[in-house]
Amino acid sequence: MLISNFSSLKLVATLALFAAFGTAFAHGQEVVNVYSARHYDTDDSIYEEFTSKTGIKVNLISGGSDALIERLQREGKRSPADIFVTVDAGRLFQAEEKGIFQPIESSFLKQQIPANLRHPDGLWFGLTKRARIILRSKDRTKEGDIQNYEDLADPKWKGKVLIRSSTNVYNQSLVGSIIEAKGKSGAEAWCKGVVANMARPPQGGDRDQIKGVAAGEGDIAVANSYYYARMLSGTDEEREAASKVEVVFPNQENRGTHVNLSGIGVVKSAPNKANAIKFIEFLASDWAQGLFAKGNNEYPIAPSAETIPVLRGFGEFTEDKVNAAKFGKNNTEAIRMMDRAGWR
Amino acid sequence: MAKPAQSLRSACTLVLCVLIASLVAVPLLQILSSLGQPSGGTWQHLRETVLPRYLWNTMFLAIGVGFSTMVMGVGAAWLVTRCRFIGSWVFEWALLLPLAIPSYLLAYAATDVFQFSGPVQTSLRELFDWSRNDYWFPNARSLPGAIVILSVNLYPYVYLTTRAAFLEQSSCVREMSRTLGLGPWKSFFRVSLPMARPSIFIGVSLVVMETLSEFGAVDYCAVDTLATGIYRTWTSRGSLVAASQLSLCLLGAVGFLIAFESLSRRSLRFYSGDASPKGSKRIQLSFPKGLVAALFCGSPILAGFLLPVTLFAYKTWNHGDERAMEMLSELGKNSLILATVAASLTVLLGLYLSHARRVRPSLPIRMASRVSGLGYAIPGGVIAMGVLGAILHFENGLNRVFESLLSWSPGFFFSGSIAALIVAYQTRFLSVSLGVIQAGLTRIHPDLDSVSRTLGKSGFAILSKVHLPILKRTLLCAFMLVFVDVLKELPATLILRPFNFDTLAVRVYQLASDERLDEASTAAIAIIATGIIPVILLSRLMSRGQLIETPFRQTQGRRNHD
Amino acid sequence: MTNDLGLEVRDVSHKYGKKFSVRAASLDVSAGSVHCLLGHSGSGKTTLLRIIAGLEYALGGKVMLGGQTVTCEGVHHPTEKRSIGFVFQNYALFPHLSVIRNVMFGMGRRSRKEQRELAMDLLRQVELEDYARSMPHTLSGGQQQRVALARALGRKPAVMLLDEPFSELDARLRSEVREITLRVLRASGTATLMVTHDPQEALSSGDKVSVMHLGRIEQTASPDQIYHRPANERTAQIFGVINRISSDSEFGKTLPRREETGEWLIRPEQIELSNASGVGERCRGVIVQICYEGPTVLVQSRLNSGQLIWSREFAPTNFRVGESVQVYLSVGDGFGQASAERWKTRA
Repeated sequence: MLISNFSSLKLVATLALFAAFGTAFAHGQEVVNVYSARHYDTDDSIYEEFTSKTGIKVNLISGGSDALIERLQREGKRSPADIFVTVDAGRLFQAEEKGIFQPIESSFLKQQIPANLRHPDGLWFGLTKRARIILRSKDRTKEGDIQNYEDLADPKWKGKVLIRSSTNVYNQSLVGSIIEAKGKSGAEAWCKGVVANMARPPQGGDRDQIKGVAAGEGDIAVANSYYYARMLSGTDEEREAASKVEVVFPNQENRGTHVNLSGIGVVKSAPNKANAIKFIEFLASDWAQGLFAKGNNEYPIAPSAETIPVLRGFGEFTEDKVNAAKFGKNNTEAIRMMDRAGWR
Repeated sequence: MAKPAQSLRSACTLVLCVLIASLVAVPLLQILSSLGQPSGGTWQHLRETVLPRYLWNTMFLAIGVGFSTMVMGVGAAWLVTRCRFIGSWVFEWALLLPLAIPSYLLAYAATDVFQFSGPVQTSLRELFDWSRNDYWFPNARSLPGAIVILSVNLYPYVYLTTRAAFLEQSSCVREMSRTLGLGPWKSFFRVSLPMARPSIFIGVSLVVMETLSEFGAVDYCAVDTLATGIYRTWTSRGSLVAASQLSLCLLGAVGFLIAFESLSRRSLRFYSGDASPKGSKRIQLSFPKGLVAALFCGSPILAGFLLPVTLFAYKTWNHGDERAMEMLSELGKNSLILATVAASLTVLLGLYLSHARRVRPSLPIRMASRVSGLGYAIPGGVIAMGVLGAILHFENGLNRVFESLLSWSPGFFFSGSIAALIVAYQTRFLSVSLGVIQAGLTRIHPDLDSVSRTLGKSGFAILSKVHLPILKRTLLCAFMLVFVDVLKELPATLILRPFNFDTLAVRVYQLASDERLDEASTAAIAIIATGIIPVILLSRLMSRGQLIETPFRQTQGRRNHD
Repeated sequence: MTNDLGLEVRDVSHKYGKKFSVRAASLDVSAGSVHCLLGHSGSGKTTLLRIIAGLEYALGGKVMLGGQTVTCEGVHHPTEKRSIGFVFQNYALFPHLSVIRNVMFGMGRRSRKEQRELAMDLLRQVELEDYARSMPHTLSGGQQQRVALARALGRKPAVMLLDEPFSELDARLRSEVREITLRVLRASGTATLMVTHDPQEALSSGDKVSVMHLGRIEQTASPDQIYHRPANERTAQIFGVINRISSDSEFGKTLPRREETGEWLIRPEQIELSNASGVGERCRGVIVQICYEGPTVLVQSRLNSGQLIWSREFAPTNFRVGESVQVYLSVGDGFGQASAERWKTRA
C-alpha cells in the first residue's frame, strides 16, 4: 500500500509537471482557445472542419455558462481564452456587462447576421436561434384555442399548462421578453396567471412537458422548437408522443414568437484575436450555419442558410424582432418576478 | 521542567498539516470573503421569497436521508454479519453496488420510469383504463421521492463503515451482554450499536454532507434545497456573492454536526476488543424471518442498482451514443487516471493528517484536521469556484511579480492543468478519506504506539511499520470511496479541466443537459462499469479474512494510568 | 557503585491537570536486579514507569538510564532513543506480525540473518521457539506475555520496565510465567523495574520493593524488611492485616519494653495463642472468628478489655470459635523482639 502510494505520488508529480509545461509552452501552433457553453457533437465536427480548412487548432473547454463567465472574469487580462460561446440572451448580456467581450468590426458578419440578432457594437453575434413554441394536445384542444403567450395565463387553462422550472434560462428569457412587451406589472400578472394554471409543480425538461401533454397530464406545453424537432426523429415512444401534439407559433397576429439564441464573442484579452475573428466568420458562413441547423435542429441565423425540412414543416412564422440584448437585460427582474409568483 | 523542544520536527509536521488544511481552507476563505460584500438586494429577495422553503426542504431531506440510510445501512450490516439467511453471502458484497451509480443518474432513471408519462404509470393506465384523476401514484419528483432515491443511493456509506465496526467487535463483549440477560435484539441495541457509534457516525455524516451538497439528483426530483438554491442564485440571479453566502448556511450546519458529535463522545474511547472470528457464531434465521431479512437487504440493491443498470443497458442497446463508443477508451482512460491519482493523493494526505493528529495532538494540528473535513458539504460547483479563485489569485500575483521584475510573465501554468483539478478533488474529498482513516485509527490501541517507541521506532516508522499494515484495508476502503466519488464528480471537473480533456461524467452531462438522455445512457453505463470494479474489489476484500485488523487482547478499552 | 546502577530516578514529579500523580519519587535499580514497585491502582506507579520510558513528561527531577541522563531540566530524550524495554499490561503485540517478526521489530541496524538468530535465541529462552511463525492472536495469554518479553529484550535494553505483566494470567500460569520471566531477566543483566499491585508478587519477585501511595514512594527496602519493618501503617497494611497496639492498652502492657509509650504494629504471625491456663502476665481472650488462608489460618480474638487481636496459626488448627485462650507475643522469636521496637510509630 505504501509503495503504491509513493508511486502514485510520483505519478502526481509527473502529471503536474507535464500539465504545467504542457499548457505553458504549447504555443508553437496557431490556435484558437474556445470556452463554450454549447456542447453539441455537431459543434465538434464544425470545429474540426475549421481546423482542416485553416490549420488553426481549436482548443475547447465546454461547461456551464456561469462557471465559464466566472472563470473568464477571474482570469482577467491573462486569460488564455479567445472565444466565448454561450446559449441564451440573458447570458450574453451578463458576459457583456462583466466586460468579457471586445467589439469586433467585420463586414462579413454584419452582412450574414440580422441586426436584431447581434450586439449593436459587435460585442457578440448570434450563432443559432430557437423558437419558444407552444404545443397543444391534438385530442383535447382545437386549432385556435390558444394563440398567444398571454393565453397561458387565461383561467380557462386552469390545471392544463405544463411548463418547466423558472431555473431554466429559456423561461427566464421568455419572461424577459414579456416584460419588454407588457411592462413589469403586466408581466408579473402573467406569471401569476401561469402559475395558477399549472397542471403540476414545474418539473423535468422541455421534452418531459411534451410527453406530459401526450400522456394526458396537461393540455398545453411550452418547449423549445429543437427539442420537439428532435423528438420527431427520436425513438418510437418519442415519435408517438410527438405525434399527439400540434405546434403553435404564438403571437403571430402581433409582435411575433419569442426567439432565443446562442451567441459568440471575442474575449477582451484574446491572445489570438485574428484567429478568433476567422473562427466566428467561419461559424457564420452558410455552410456551418446549415450544419448547425441539420445537426441540432436549430434555426440558422444567416438568412441565406437553409432551414432543415423538419423545421420547415412547422411552417413559416413571424419572430419577435426585439433585440436579444433588451430582454437579456430583464433577466434578473424576470427571475425575481417568478420567485414572487411562486414559480419554482 | 519545560517540555523539551523537538522543535524542528514538530514545526515541519505543523507546517505540512497547515498546508494540507489550506487546500480546503483557502477555497473556503474565498467563499467566506463574500460575506462582507453587498449582494445587490439578492439576499433580501431570497429571504422574502424562497429561502424559508429552501431551508425547510434541506432540513427534511438531510434528516430523512440521514435517518433512513442509518436504518438501512446499520440494519443490513447487522444482518449480514450476524445472521444467516437466504442469499446472505450475496448480499454481503452486493449491498455495496449502489455506490457505483452516480446519484444524478439514479434520480434520472427513477423519475423517467415512474413519472406520469413514464412506462410504469402508462402501462397502469392502459391496463385499467384509468385517466389522470382516477388513481394515486407516488410522485418520484417530490421531497419523499428525493429522500428515497438518495437513501438507496447513499446507504452503502453507512453499511460499509458499520459493517467494518461490527466485524471488529469482540464477540466476548456480545456474549457477556447475553449472559447479563440481554437477548440478541437488546444486545444489538445496547452493546453492538453503541460500540459501533463512531463508525456509524462517520458513515451517516458522509451521507448527510453528500445530501446537503447534492445538486443533480435533487434538481431532477424538483425539490428546492439550499444546494439547488445556491446554483440557481448563482446561475440565474448571477450573484456568486449571494450563492457563497448561502453556502455558508450549509457550512454552518456541518460545523454544528461535527461539533455535536465530538462533544458527545469526548469522554469515550472505542478500541475494539479481541475479535476472534471463531467466537462469533451467526444466527440461522428461520425461513419466514430469513425472507424478511432478504427483502430488507435486497430492495435497496434492486432500487439503487438493478433498476438503473437495467434501464441504461436497455437504452444503450436501443439508442446508444455511437460517439461515446468511439470516445469511450479516451474518456475512460481520462476518468481512470484522474480517479486513481486523486484517490491516492487523498488517502496519502488523509493518512498523514490523521497520523499527525494522533502523534502530536496539538491545537493547530487538531484544527487543521477539522478544517480539512469540511469540503464535502459544499456543493461541488461552489468549491470549484473557490479553488479556481484561489489558484488564479496566486497565479495573477506571481505574474505581477514577474512582470515588475523581468517585464515578462509566464502566464497561467497551473490553472487549467490536471494538477489544478487534482487539487480541487482534494478540497472536496479529503474529508472522505480523513473520516474513514481516523475512524480506523481510533480502533488501534495507543499502547501499540507506545510499545513501538520503546522499541526504538518513532513518527514515520510507526506509521509505516505499524499503522499502515494494520490499516491496510481501511486505506483501501478510503481509496475506493474517493475513487468512485471522483469518477462521478462533475462540477469541478467541468470548470477546471484543461482544454480538450473530457471524462465520462462530462460526456454524460453534455448529453443529459441537452435532454438527450438515451444517448447519455452509454457513458452512464461506462461510469458504472468503471466504478463497479473497485466496488466489487472492496466488497470482496471486506468479506475475506478478518485476521489482520484484530488488535490485541484486551477486554476493555481503557487506557491505564494508575 | 554508580556504574552498577541501571536506573536512577531522582525527585521525579508529574501532574495530570492540577493533581499530582507522582511526587518527588526516587528509586535506584542496579543492573541485574529486579525492583518491584507496589501500590494500589491510582497510586501513580504506571505513570512513573511511563515517565522513565519517556512516554510522559516529568514536571521535575532526573532520570538516568545506564549512567546516561535521559530526563532532567531541559532534557527529554524521546522514548525511541532510550535504552529501555517495556512490557505492557496487555502485551501490545502487533496483530499484523508473526511472533518472530514481533520479536525482531525493534532490532535495527543488524542484518536480517542476525536479527532472526537473535530472535530465535530469545524465543528459546522464553520457551516459545516452536511458535515463531504463529500469529499473536493464536497464542494463549501466557505465551503472549513471553513474546512481549522477548520482544522487549531484543534491543538489549539497560532497563526493563514491566507494567503489571502477570495480572491477566491465572494463578497457576502466573507463577510459571513469572519464574521464566525473572530467570531470563536476571540472566540478561538488565535492571528491571516491575509495577504490580499484588504484594505477594512483589515480595517474591523483587530484590527490592518500593511501596507507592498517592504518588509518593513511602518506603524502599528488601522484601523482608519492608514486610516486617514497614515505615508506616499504610505501608504495613498493603501486605495484609496488622495489629495496632497502644502501649497503655491491656495487651501493650504485656509487651517487652513497655516503659516506652506509643503504638506498636505487630503482624499476626508474631502473636501466639495458647489454651494453657494461668502462666505469668498474659492476656486472656475469646476466639471470635477463624479465617482459612490455605497453609495457615487467621484467628481473631477478643481480649477481656474488648480489644481485637489477629493472630496466625498453622492449618489445620485445633482452635474453635468461642474457645478461651491466652494471647501473647511469641517469645524467643528474634524478629518479633527486634521488630516491636522498630514498629513504634512516631507520634
